[in-house]
Amino acid sequence: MRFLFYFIFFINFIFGQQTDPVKLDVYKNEFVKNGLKSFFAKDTEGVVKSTDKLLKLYKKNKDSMVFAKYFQYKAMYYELKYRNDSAFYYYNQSKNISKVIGDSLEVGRRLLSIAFLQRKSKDFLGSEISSIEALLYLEPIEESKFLERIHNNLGLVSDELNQEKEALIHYDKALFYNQNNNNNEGFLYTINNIGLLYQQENKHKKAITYFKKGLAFDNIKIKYPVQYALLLENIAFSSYSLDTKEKVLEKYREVLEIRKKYKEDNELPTTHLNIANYYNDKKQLTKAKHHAIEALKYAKQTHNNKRWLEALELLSQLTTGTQSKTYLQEYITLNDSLVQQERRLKNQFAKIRYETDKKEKENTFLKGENEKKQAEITYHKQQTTIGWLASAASILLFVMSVSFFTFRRKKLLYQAQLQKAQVRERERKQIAKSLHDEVAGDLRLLHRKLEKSQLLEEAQKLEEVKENVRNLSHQLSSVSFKKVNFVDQIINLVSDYFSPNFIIRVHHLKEIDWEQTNSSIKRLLYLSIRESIQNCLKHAEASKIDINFSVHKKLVHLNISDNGIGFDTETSKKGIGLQNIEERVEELHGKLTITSEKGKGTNTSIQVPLNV
Amino acid sequence: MSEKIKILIVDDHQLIIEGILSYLKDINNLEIETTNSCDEAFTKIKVALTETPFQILFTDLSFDNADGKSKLDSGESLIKAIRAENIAIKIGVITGHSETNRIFNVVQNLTPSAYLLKGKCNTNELNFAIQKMLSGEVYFTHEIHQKLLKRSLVEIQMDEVAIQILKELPNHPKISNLEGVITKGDGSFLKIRSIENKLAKLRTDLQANNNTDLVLKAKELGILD
Repeated sequence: MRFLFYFIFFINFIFGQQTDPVKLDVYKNEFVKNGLKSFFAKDTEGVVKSTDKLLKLYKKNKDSMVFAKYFQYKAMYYELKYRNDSAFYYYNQSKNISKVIGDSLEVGRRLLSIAFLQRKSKDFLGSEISSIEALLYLEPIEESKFLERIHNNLGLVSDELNQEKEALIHYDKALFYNQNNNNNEGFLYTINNIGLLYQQENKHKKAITYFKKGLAFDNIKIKYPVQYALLLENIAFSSYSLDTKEKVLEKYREVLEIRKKYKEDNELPTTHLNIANYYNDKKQLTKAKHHAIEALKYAKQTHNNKRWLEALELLSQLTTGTQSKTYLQEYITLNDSLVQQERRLKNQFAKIRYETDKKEKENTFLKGENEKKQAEITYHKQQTTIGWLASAASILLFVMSVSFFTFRRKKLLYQAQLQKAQVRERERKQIAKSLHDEVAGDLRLLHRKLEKSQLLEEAQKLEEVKENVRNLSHQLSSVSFKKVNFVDQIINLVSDYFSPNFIIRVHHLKEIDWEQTNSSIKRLLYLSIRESIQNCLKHAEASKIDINFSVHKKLVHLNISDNGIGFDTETSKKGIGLQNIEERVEELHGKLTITSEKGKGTNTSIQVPLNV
Repeated sequence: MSEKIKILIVDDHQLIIEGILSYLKDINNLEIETTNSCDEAFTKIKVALTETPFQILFTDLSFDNADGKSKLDSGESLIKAIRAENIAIKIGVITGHSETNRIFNVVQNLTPSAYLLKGKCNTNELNFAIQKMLSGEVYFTHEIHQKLLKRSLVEIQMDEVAIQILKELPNHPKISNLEGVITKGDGSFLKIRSIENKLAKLRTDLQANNNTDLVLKAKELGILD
């Protein structure tokens, strides 16, 4: 009976690989379909082809899902090659990728494959763990089809671990899920497994009721021949165990036929062994030997180690002498190697699993570490940025304060100069006043005396002198300066000199806001114009003067040009009037430039900063 | 001539007052008072208001005799004080000041009814000025008038073209004849339309009624001989 569930196992395994409607693109779908077809047909080359195609596709679109499939197919390839450790490794990889992209269905399915693989390799505990892990992924998304398979697997594993009660619970659950998905094969399979469970406990009658239930399934012989063969074999075995010898052989033969027909080569050794055992019981040793040798052949072919051992054991019983010894020897060697292999596989599975977990832990650790480092780098960057900003700000502050102080100093200096100019103005006023009051007063007295002494001519001359002094005093002081606005003042000044033969034109005078301009500047401009006009009248023989005002970049520009005879700026001496102007310009941080050439007129240019 | 014209003369120089008085003695019907200081003049005017007010005030502008104690130290402040109290009196300035700035300042801000110059006035002019003042008109002596005109010439930026036009105007009976005579700075001729525009502007600026008047003003300014 133990022989049977190896048989079962494979069907189970196929179910695990079945495709499902996942949304993949056309190519992917095609490759996956082809790969699965090849896998079920045990066409290794087909699987390899699909695997390669998937890899190429992955390189093109970098789709993690495709990459997971690629690993799955690689695993399937190794499974076909009976290299369970490699298969396990790739299933595990595939599962991990699906885990990363959060595809619960794929994770569950890979875990299921792993569970089957482990059970196949007799790592029952591992299989149980994998199955339960698969449940964690599949239960929330209620994938009844796969949940049924998991419970079947768990039932088989529990059975193997001699936990019959639990096995039954799992089979019940499998049947429960089966109701939801109308999976007849699954139903037959579970029924068979329950039957097997009772068969193992030697409750053959109960087992037979289950097998009969399966065989009573509508049209089972045509629809599900593989399941039919399985059930038929098992009912035959149980019947035989109950000493109901009739038709046992016929049943076995029917099973053999069906299996050969459907190329279920790996199940053939089971049937052959059953038949061999039957003949052995009947003491028909030749026939028994024949079937045992057949069983051995197929077991070797399909790597069905269990049956291989059983076949060897049976053959050593059936044969005698050296031949029996050889079979026994072979049995012992194989058994040892198999035990070792199983142990190794278990270890390897555990190792792969452990390493994956470790890697995961390491990854999370590295991730954390990375994040920490990243944070540190960002922190440092921020620090540097802050540092730069701070230094920039401090430099800016420094520059600003320096410029502020320079500016302030300049302003203070300018104001001091202005004050100086104002003091000078006051001084001038005082001189003017004393000229007016004292000198003119004295002159007046003298004038009266002269008049009294009838010296009218002298009195007249003295009157002229007095008038001159008065004029001088008026020029020195700017008595009416504040009473009349600057524009009118300039016009008045120009009017005093204007004549049809001496045309003075003033440009842009009214375009400047003189209200805001410091009176010292205005006084300077006034005096400069007067001085220039007087010089022009005295020396230049000009008939035209142009006076131009402008404000540009916080500077007042005054430009006076005439069409006179000009002079050589290098040889000519500056008059007192011009020297006075120059002094005033310097006081106000201005610039005075006089350009002239013989025959080309004179140009006087003054620039004074506006209220610094 | 039943009522006498009441006049107050203020000047710091007694000599000047005597001179003016000597000119005015030939004019009948005048009742003249004199004083040497602005403060006294202001008091006199205010006191006279209660009985017979002064009709005319002649004042100088600068007062050399003014000292720290004087409240009104110049003709200007006296005029301002009178204006401030809204006293009905015609004010004439008789002074030696002929700087445009002073003239302009006084005329513009104090609007006197007359502006005469000491050195140049005589009985006739004084009489003429008094008559004008009493009839509510304004009289500025020729020199002052000339200066104010010149000032407006400067203010409107009298250029060579304007002077050319003013000079040529008396020589041509028709304005259209001026075309081809007046040249621009670059030597090209000015169009009739531009000449007419310029003339119109000159008339406004020099307050001339017509072109003949304009010629007269130009003569006054000395632009024309």
